[in-house]
Amino acid sequence: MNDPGQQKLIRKLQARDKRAFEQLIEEHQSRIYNLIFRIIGNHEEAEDLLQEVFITVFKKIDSFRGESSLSTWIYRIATNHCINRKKYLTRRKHYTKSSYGDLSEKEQSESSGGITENLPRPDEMAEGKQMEQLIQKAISTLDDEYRVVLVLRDVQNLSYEEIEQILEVPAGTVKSRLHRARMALKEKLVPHLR
Amino acid sequence: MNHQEARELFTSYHDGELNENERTAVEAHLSECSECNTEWLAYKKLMTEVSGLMNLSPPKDVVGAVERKIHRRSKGKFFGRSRASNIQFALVSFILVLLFMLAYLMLTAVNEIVVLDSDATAPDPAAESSDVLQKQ
Repeated sequence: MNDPGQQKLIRKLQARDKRAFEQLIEEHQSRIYNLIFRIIGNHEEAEDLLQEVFITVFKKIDSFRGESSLSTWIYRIATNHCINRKKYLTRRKHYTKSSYGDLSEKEQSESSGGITENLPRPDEMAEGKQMEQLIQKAISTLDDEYRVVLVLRDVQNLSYEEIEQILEVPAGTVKSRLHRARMALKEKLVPHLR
Repeated sequence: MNHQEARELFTSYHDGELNENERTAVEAHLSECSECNTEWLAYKKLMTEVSGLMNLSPPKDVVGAVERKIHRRSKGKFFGRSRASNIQFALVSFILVLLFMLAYLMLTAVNEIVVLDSDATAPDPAAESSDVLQKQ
């Protein structure tokens, strides 16, 4: 981690500089929110976890040693929070349903205010939305270790090396988990892929 | 290469992680095995769908919500009113008090001038009583 800009930002964060902290949140909130939602599958939980991730960053920034990039470190905090929350919710049996309906509402509100060019026909859009929900549902049923690798690689487009650093596992483990995750997802969605 | 071996390499093949020989072997198998080719097409379609998942917008005012939580949990140690805004607040308060005092002093001075003016223009009661006595 030799980026002077990032080192300056880290020093400011360690000095609990308000503006630096706000800049950090602005820069990372979108990617971290998408990561959390794809792992957790619920908007309310994802919103709460997003806040908890940045609170942890604020609390633990002094322990950041720069062995990885700052964003890798934040990803690690976020994935750990997701895994712990998911376990907690499963234990409490609180996690009875994911908010797939919630997802549709959110997508609807976003598409209504977004770009209208190249908009698919209503039937295509309905089909696309249905597929999105099916994929999200299928991802939610994967085991934690497979789901996290799949989201990091295929939704967040991170490299194998970044995933190794985030999860602190060897390259071979990342590859084998990813392969199993994709094959399991394919089996779950096979009627919709042909 | 058999079906199982070919399918085990789908992920590495898709991500460009195979060496030349392995890639050639997988491609040769897919060209002659319709069953594995069908699996490969389904795999590719899945990857297209997953990578095309909608990018969701984060909730509004994440910064504010996080700062409020930190302020509350730190019992006001962090993200309270800043020193600069404290100085600004003190300065504005001082100026307001100063203006109020000036306004009060000006009002008092104006009142005194009015009283003095009215005293100067009012008829002398002693002179008035002597005039009355003279007429009588």
